[in-house]
Amino acid sequence: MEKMILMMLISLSALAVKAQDTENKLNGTLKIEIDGLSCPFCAYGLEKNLSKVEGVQTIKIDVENAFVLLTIFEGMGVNEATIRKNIKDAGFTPRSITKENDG
Amino acid sequence: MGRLYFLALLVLVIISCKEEKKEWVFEGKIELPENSRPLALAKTGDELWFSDPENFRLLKIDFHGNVLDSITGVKRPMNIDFDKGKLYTPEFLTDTIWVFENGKNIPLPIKAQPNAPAGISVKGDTIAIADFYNHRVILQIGSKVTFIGKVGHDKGQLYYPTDVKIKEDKIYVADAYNHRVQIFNFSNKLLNIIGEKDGFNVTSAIALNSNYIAATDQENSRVLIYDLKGALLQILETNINYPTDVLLNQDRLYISNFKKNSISIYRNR
Repeated sequence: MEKMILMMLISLSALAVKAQDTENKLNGTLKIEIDGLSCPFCAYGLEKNLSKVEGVQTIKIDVENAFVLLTIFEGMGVNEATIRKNIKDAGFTPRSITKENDG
Repeated sequence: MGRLYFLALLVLVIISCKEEKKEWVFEGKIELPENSRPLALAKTGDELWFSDPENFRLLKIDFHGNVLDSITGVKRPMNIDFDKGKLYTPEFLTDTIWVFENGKNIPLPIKAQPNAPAGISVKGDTIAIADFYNHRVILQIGSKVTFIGKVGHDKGQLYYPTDVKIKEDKIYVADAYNHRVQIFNFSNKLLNIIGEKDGFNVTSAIALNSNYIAATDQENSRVLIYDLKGALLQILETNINYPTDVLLNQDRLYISNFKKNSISIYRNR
């Protein structure tokens, strides 16, 4: 009986973690504003790093206005922390990540 | 008396030689096709190739800006080089070096893996690659590979190198985010540092000839001219807008204006 309760608790906590994970995932089209994006070497480096993120469908870098537009494959959310890490790995600090109106 | 005339003539010649101080003067611009973003330049005879990473292409133009040839579908072509009839293109997103000859683009075998190759210089079987994310230069001579520099801000260390040039037995590196040019020998020994106190903000590209070193100050829209020992000779600012590359050819200097869709030409006179 104790074993059964323990198993149920483990399953419930696993489900809770999964639900939380899904909640934190971003999808659709994301606009990321980044300081210092005017340099083409850095901008394309950022593009290279973001292309490694699983679930990213397209990347549009706007060097002139210093932002990136990411579209995420439908049904494949991307964790915000993963996006932020890949941006940091490219040598940048993201200012804001906002969801664009896909309509 | 004859001797006196000869001496006077000699003195005049020496004085006139000393007074002859050449300067780089803006001569004109090559306007490029609409929406072009020229990042880097390479000269082939009477024509120029420029890389246009924003549009995933390279264009060959004449000096009026007319397009003569193109290579498309290159995933961010960066600082290119031309050697012995071949155009060398580092493809930033795929870590590939392409060699274009007789209308065909083939990958160059490299013995070390770059991460975002930003620039290349080729002299026969000696190849140097600015390895942007590994903060080093890959130097391949025949089948032997050595590395120049490592990540850091101290002397001899590199931080996001974007361009490289081979001249005789030296490697000149645009140490972009250390805001300077560093010169090494082929054994990774630092020989000289140029521009450290000249206010660079991203030293993105360099060019060399037998008299001068030119370096871009990308974020300040300037090009600085040095002698081969590293003494600053001149600062160019006229008609330069976000320079990402320079090319020295005889008495002319070509500057790519990345954000102005043009190439500025300066003349040494």
